[in-house]
Amino acid sequence: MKLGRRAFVCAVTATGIACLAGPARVLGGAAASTSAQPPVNDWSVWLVIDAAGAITLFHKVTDLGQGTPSSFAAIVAHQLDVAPERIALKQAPVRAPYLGPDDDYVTSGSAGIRAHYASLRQLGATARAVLVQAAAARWQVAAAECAVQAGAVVHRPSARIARFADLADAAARLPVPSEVQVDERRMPRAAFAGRARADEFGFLDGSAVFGVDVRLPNLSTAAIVHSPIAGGAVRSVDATAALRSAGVVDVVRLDDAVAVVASDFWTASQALRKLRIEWTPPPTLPDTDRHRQALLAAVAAGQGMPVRVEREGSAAEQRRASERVMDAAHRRVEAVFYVPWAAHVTMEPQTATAHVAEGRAELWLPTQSQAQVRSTVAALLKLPERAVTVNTTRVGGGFGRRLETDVAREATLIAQRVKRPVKLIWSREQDLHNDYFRPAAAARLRAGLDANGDVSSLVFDVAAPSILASSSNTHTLPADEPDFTAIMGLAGGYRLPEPSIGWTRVEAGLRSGWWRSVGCSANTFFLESFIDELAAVKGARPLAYRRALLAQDARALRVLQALEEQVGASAPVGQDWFWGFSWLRYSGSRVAHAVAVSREAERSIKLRRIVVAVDCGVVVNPHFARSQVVGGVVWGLSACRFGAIGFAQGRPQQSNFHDYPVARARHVPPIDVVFVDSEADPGGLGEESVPGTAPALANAIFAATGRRLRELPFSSEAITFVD
Amino acid sequence: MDDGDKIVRVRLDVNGAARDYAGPAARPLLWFLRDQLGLTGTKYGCGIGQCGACTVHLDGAAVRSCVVPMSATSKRKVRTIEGLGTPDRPHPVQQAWLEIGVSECGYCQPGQIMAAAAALAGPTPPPAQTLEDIGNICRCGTYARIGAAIALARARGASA
Repeated sequence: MKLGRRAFVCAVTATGIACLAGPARVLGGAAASTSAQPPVNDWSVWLVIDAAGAITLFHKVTDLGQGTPSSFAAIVAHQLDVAPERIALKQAPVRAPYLGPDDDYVTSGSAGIRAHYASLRQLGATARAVLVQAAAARWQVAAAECAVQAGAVVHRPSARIARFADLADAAARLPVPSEVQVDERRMPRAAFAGRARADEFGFLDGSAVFGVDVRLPNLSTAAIVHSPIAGGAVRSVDATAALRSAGVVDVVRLDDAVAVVASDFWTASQALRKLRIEWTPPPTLPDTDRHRQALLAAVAAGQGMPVRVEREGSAAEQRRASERVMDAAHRRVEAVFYVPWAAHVTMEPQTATAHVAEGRAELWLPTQSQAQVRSTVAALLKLPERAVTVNTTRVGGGFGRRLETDVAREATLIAQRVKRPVKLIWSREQDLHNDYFRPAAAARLRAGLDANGDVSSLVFDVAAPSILASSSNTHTLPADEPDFTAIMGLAGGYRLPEPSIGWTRVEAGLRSGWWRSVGCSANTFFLESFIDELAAVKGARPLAYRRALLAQDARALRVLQALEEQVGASAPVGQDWFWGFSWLRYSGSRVAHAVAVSREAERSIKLRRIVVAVDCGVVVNPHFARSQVVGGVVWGLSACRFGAIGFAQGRPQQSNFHDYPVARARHVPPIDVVFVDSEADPGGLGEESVPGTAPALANAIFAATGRRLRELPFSSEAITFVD
Repeated sequence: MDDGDKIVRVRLDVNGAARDYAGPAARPLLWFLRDQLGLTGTKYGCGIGQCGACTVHLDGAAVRSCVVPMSATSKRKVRTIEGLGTPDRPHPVQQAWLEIGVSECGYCQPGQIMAAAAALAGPTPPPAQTLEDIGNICRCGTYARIGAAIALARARGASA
């Protein structure tokens, strides 16, 4: 390939490696550049080494607090043998070449490191290879005699040194080798702690710019009210009084909401209260009690869409076969479970800033879903996607809520109407009431046992709304298959008869979406509680029972071993603690929980300790990894203790943190996290410790009290917690 | 005209500088700081004094600025996160936060830090156990590291 005089880029994609003339606008000087992202259809610039030696890594993952971009830098830095902080991070612009027509630009599914580890190593190794080649050519020595060291290439025999800065231009002119050697040495386990993120202090002095902090010339702020009955629409608006208020710019009517645009948020909020709005309720008023009954009726009926498994016969035939074995079983065990609707309540309420003018739109927002925001806004305004610019701000908590595009859509419509930049901020009440909730779900789990108490047949019936059908994030619910989010986690990975799973879709008229760990937040509670019940029926110790069913999975056994050892180390001698356990394989990671409670009084317990053992493959950054596991457990504890939103005749029954509490420090016991030493490819970590928390706690409560709690949150009639 | 529209004129001290406010008496200090002074380190989280994201110091005491009306701020000294320390001269609590690596998303941390700094600066520091639960919400679940950072700052005799 002939190379131009100007800077060019080299790209590694899923399909190959090539170099071609590239956009000089991206490059200060020359570049060694490769793609470290999911398959891209456009040649891209991801790693830039400029003539001054500055190294910049572009990334398409949003830092929601999980620190993934910094871990990306650490992976590349290791290959280049530079300190991770030498690599500056830049959120990739939401456009070509960073975003091709079929690419995604999304932060979800605990996929950050899992999906990009290999390509990031390849990226760093490729950059290293061309830098070494450039040095070798300059010195006219063999490349094999050269190596990278602390931001330079060294030729050991002659002790010559050339800095990356001085090699970058020449390196960028070299063809990318078709094969590069990845440095397989382990990454240093140095404590990154607070300095892992270059801009960490911005969180500590208030200078970090979140979505609510965006400042622009001539910026107005909008407050919004949605239908007080979920699913309702605006029938009429009398804005006379609101428009008379000082500081109010305009009132904008949307289909299902009304916004006041004003000089500032408080002025807008006050004027919002002066609106006289009539609403048209939806044909059926969402009612979570009624929905709960419908879910329970559905699992009792067991007539759901069967899930085909890797076994002979159609799904229906598989179901019949499982039922036949069930009928012939020596003994049958059955349990019915329920989890409620739950909200995300990210600390930063939903927000987006938009400016629509002259055939262009620009947005500034905390998002996990940049490509989707861009396509949504473009479609809304009937603009080409290239006319929409999406800027990612700091994000005050994502957890799946910011995969949705509803707030970007609203901000765009409002800004279009008032013809000036507008920052839309939802109040906490609006945030809680208009979430894409973790949907409620019910399950009826049945097992047939043989004379030894071993499982001969499993039949699981679940009922839940469809997230795929509801989320504003583009997904489609297949016509002839269950929503995968409703059944995920039910198979379990145990050496047990393949369960026959049926799903019944039961909607409530509420929006459901992606909530940290999605369907596993319900299904792992169901399954791991049930496994505990099966162990008890057999008279086996819960951990030993699981171990026997995981004998085929060496990594699982190591995790359980690590868990047991840490439980021994964590439990003080002489304390009367009761332990409950859970196990989960999720997104390439294996996770085991142990929860200790003490019995304080009849139906009263104190949470004492939580131990989590994890095999997530290679741990890139122990600090972030541990934080994700601990944070997931805290998230799970909120769901055990508090998290439930109700709607009665369409009206939400909670409104803010006083009646929708979440776990605070006093609710969280010491949490010990053990990472099993593993060189396996990285698995997920952002969601993986959530699901096992509830069943391990329920199982601990059973151990302490003999009571099975099969609904979340644990009701105060069933059990009280001493905090 | 309801109470929210009553106009007051107030002079207060914010991070050592005199500031004047003329506007509705009921406007919460939070929104004066954020929207009129541009001090956006103080965060909105709930608006009802529950979550603590908006914590600032009012005459040295930690308050939730979303429920402090401007009418109650006359002649008072307000300190916000922007007035606490700088990267070059961090407050001991910020320094401890940095070393422990407390933050995840970071949104609640200015409020957590202001609450911790006020507690540590009090005339009689509360017992360690109370200190480690300053009561603010963090959805990322950084509580254990918040506790560790407070303990670290306390061990170094943080006040100021």
